[in-house]
Amino acid sequence: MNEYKIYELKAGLKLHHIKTDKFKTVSVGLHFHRPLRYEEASKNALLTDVMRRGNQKLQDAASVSRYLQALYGAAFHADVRRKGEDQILSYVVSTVADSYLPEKEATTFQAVSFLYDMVLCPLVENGAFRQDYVEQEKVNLINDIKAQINDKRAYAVWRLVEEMCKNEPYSIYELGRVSDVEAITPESLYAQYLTVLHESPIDIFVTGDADIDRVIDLTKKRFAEVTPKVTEYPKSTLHSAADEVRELVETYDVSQAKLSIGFYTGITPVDDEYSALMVYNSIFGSGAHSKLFNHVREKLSLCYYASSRLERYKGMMVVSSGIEYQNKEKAETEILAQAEAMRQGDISDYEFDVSVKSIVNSLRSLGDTGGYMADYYLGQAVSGTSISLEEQCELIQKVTKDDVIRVAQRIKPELVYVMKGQEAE
Amino acid sequence: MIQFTKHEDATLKECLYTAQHDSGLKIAIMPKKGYSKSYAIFGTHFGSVDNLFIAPGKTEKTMLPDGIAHFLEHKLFEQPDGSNVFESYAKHGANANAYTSFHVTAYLFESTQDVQENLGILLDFVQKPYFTDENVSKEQGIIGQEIGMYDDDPDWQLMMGFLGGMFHEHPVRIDIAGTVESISKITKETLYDCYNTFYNLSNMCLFIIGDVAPESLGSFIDERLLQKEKAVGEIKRFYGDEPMSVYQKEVRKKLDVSVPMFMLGFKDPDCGYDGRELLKKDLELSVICELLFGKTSPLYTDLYEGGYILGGMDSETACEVLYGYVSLSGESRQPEKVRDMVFEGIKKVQETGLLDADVERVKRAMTGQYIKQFNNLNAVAHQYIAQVFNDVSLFDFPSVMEEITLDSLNKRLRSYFDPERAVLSVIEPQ
Repeated sequence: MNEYKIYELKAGLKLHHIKTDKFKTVSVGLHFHRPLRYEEASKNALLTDVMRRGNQKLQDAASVSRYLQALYGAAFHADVRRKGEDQILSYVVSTVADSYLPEKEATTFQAVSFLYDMVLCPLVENGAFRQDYVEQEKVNLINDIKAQINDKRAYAVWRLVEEMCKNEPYSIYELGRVSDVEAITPESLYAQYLTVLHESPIDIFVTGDADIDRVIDLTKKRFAEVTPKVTEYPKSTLHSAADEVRELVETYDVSQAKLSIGFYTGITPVDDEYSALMVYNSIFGSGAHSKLFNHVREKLSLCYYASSRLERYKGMMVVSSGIEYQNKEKAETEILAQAEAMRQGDISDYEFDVSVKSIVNSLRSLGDTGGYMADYYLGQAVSGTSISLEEQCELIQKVTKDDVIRVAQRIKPELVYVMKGQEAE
Repeated sequence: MIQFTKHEDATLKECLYTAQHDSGLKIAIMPKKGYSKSYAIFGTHFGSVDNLFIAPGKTEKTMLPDGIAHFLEHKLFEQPDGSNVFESYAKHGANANAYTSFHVTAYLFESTQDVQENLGILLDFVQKPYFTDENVSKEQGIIGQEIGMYDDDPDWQLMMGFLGGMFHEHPVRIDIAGTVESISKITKETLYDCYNTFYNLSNMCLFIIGDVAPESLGSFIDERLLQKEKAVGEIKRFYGDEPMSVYQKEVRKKLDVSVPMFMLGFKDPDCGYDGRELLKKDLELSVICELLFGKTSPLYTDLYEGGYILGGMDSETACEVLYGYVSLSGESRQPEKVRDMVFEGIKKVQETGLLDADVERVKRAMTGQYIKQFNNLNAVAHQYIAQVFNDVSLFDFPSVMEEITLDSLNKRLRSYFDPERAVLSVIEPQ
């Protein structure tokens, strides 16, 4: 069974161990938490890209890859993601657990040492990262930022969120802006590295069957010189509710129009109502049992997909759908009518029961994937809660239909976003 | 009664139980102690490429409209009593789905409770088709929307352009979902014809993975299977006479993307076999691709550091009985230059040959990846179903890997990669 333990190695440096022997791998992830803001969003993104290229011992990407191949195909990733307004720089290594290796080699320990080399001994000369690596990765990063429009389905949701949170840090893309990337120099990037290393709370997650005492010893040794000056996680601001519903229509080259609707919920994981909100979201739009799926897609054949999801740290919910532009009014009316029905308490026993089961099923399934479990507990750390997976299942099972209706009455539509094709009239 | 045969892999510490039901259905169960989730998949050897065939006992060929396997997948969820399959699943906490690939149609669920009840739902609805003129016509609208979604998907368009360039005849060049026009020809009669031919249990397989006991599930499955005897005769399938050459060396399409996307690939000149031999080819190509195009290769370093590819490049191998290819994909402002550099890079290695130390290192990495894969129930299930109809089994990897030598790799490297059999597909910004 899974056992979860936190070791506070020093103020601002925690080592989390998700102990289980059901996986064939051990993975170790190191995460720095930074406030999401324009001044550093692009620098942090570029930092993970450049650091991935090599360290003092393995000076280029080919050497890094050869080293990982020899470690039975260990995998290494470095990237940024955001949880609310916390921009997280993550460095994760995952390797086959020693007990599964033919020759009983100790690859876990080597993999952890490699991870710490990548993070603590980057390839730096004279107070700067290598110029050629920085320039190459700047080009790639700018390309990645521009590539956001390639996936129209996701982009239609992004545009909605960006527009809803216009004056909030949450409108900042986790890779930042092109103009910010352009301004980065090898020196300014190194300065940012020092800031990240010394002024951020750090979480290390070890998932799997590892000799944890040995990992702790190594961590203490390698982080002896690192004393985070900032030990508090960056806090997300609650989205401020709008007074009226707005509409925004934009034209892109799409053959199928996308309709996204943003809602204010005002509820985040620290609130007691959060579990009821999860059930609300499941009934409303998450899965084949939901109102959106059955009413908007199945009964009215208005769209190929229609679903909702929570922006949990911000107190928001977004609906995403793909439609024929001519059906826009009908689809919008129907989606809002379903939200209204929930406000009126129109929730069947079937809808309620299967939604609870569906969430519990998803939560329990998380426990079967090491990466998801680590991400769940990282989310707990970010929101300042400490609810285990099993406790979260129990909380969901305690939610009543009345709790859901009370939540429904607080949820308000705020922005209707339409992405239409050039020919659509 | 279903008699299981137990297969063990000592390194993996995994067991696989396999059986063949009297109906000819292939069954495989992999118990995973300590996992919360169970995952079951019921699949038929009927994909979008199976569009011309002679049914058992018939003499005439039947030609099917493009997209019918996928259409049938959607329609199988209709039930004679009007009940909703998703609802039945949801009552037992299961998530259900289905998909159609070029080669199989598969129905699946995952759940952390009531495995047997959910398995019952899966077996029941797939064995009970219910097609009417009305429900067929309603689906034409929904799938029309789905096709519209693929039209906007640059990755999918890149891939279909690539396959269309590579093959003259083989139906893998046709879009899985068909077109709005082709699906308009589908009627309830054609659906029943397809169903009766391809959903015979002797053409199907069932795979279950999770914290389950094979014996007790076995007797439950036996009770629920409607067909008790094996069908007589085989389905004869026709895929056209595919020449060795490619149809078009370059395929271009314009879409709203930020940078051109490319897929460059080589057509397999050596096809026509299945089983361990096919897996051996697949593994050989994986080793070769890693060394030719992976991050440790001089070619990749030149492409990446020279800025010819942006953000990386993926290589993939496809090894089917009657066709195959290797593909490289990524983003580039100069796809033609990338192609020239790839040709040049391959030629160099073909001349010198691969090095033993490199091969051993990559084999080691692939062994690690093979072990890791068994962490992921969904991945194991999909791997099983993608291989079972090619007569490849889950535990074949280590012994086949052992047969691969430096010599067999160098032979494959020299015979496979021929610029004359290469296709470049590009999605250009507007």
